[in-house]
Amino acid sequence: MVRFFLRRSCVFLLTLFVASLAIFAMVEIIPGDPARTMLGLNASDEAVAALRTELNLNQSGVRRYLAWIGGICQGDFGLSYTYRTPAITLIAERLAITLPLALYALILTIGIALPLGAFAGTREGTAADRLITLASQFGIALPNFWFAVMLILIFALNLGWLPAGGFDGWEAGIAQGLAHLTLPAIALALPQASILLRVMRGALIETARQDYIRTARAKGLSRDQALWRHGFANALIPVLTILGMQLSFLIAGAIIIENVFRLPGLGRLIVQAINQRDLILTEAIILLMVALVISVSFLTDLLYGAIDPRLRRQRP
Amino acid sequence: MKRGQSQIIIGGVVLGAIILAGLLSLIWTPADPLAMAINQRMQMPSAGAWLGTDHFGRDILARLMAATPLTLSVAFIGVSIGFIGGVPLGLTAALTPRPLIGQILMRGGDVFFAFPILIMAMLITAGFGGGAWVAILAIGFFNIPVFLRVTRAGALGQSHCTYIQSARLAGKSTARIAIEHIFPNIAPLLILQASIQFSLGVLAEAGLSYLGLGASPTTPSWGRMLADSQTLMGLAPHLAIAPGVVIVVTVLAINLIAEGLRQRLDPRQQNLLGRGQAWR
Repeated sequence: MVRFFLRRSCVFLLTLFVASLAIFAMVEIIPGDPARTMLGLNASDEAVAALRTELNLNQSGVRRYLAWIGGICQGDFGLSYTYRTPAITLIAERLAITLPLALYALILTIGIALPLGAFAGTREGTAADRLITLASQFGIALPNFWFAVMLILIFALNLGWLPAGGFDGWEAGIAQGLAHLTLPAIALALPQASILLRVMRGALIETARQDYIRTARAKGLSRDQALWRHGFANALIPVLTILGMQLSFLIAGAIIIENVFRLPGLGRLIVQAINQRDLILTEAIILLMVALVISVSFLTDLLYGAIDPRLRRQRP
Repeated sequence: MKRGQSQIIIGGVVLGAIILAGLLSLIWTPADPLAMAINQRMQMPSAGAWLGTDHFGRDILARLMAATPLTLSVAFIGVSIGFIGGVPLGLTAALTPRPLIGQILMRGGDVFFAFPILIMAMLITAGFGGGAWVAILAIGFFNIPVFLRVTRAGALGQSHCTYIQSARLAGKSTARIAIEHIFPNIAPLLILQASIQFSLGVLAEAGLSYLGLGASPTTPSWGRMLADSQTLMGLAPHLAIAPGVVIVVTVLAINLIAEGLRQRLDPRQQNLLGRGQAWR
């Protein structure tokens, strides 16, 4: 287990390193002059030269990368060019919306997918199963941003149950904050829940065919008892894999949904940063999101190793 | 009828109709998709404009049709890049006699995989500016590791079969075995994966143009039409419905084809589609 852990950690750190290198190269090295990009084509040469000095662009690419990554390791993501505020402060403010939103959506995803998936999976071929499967087909095809617009149209504009967008900050009260996050969380969760539901259903059906379920039934358990006592835990393994992927994609999906609902989260911030050509801030947010994706997949890997000893061996 | 055939036929007919409407738009649309008529703006559907007009008085049906070739070709070219890049790498990773090369390819794929399409598109836009090609590249880069993984897994499964061993004994080179024997045998699997990725590509293109990271604002695109309609939702809610319905129907049709292909390929693997879909 220790060797497995060390090996995975090395791969994890190496992946992070290469990803950070790729981000830095894509934004700062390959396109040419970042100062020119940030200031636009009409900027005077003096202004560009001043920014080059401020950003240390006159140094070599390698030294700039080392300075950048070294700063990040100490929590310094650089100074946002448009806001003149440390990028990390801006990001931390916005995470106070994006993280609760992603978590809310994740809870909804699990809350919808697992019970419905289990229900359909234990009733394969019945009318209820077909209905749920068909509905999940629609859920998968639904672009979450269009679904979000429809939710606003129905529940905010027509019925007036929930706010159509915006966010007044957590100071206005937790209930009010959650009310503002409810429609966005549903918009994020439903397509993901449709995917997870199908995985859950498929895994249960697959498990029900296994020999150990047959053995359990031969020992006198009913089909449902056998599935609940022995099948459910095994069916959860593929569900966990998908869930690990989904958490990171919920964060990325939040970029679009925050823009639909005008929520001042990380997704709004990065779109603004790109439109204003604030490369420092853009880089910082992208690195953060990519690091999150890599970390989640690392944690899922470790979790597997803990659950299933066979997976600790080197992959063939 | 064979398993899955009805799904393929229904999905194919719907997708075919959408493609035809897109091709038709290259020579004819019910009205000029770019012509503005401010006095005709935000009209409800009528005999003159079947789906109504938008906030500049442009015909919605004409714009939807004109946007079809762009969306479908962006998704198609993007997935093709992933296919052309990922399949040879996956074959190499599976068949190389040096485990180190396989390891490097797989780890490299993992790095690419850590960039969701949206984030990849933002990265390219930040460095190089926007345009339809950003969406193509982002979808393409994201799909390379997808095809790498599927190809490697498929090829590893084949490489232990006796016909591969006899081909080796007959003195064929690894490269020839990969091209002549393994590729044709895993092609159905790859086509299935390509159809799943194509539907994700359509969703990704729509999402990117919704955020303004796709085609330029003047080009008609489904995602952009949706973004425009949103600001006017209180005044003309019907504007938001048509573009969304078109996206949903297109993606459903492709998914239906994929589902049919999957059932013909392997009726037991019920959750394969689900796994592919999670790679959004």
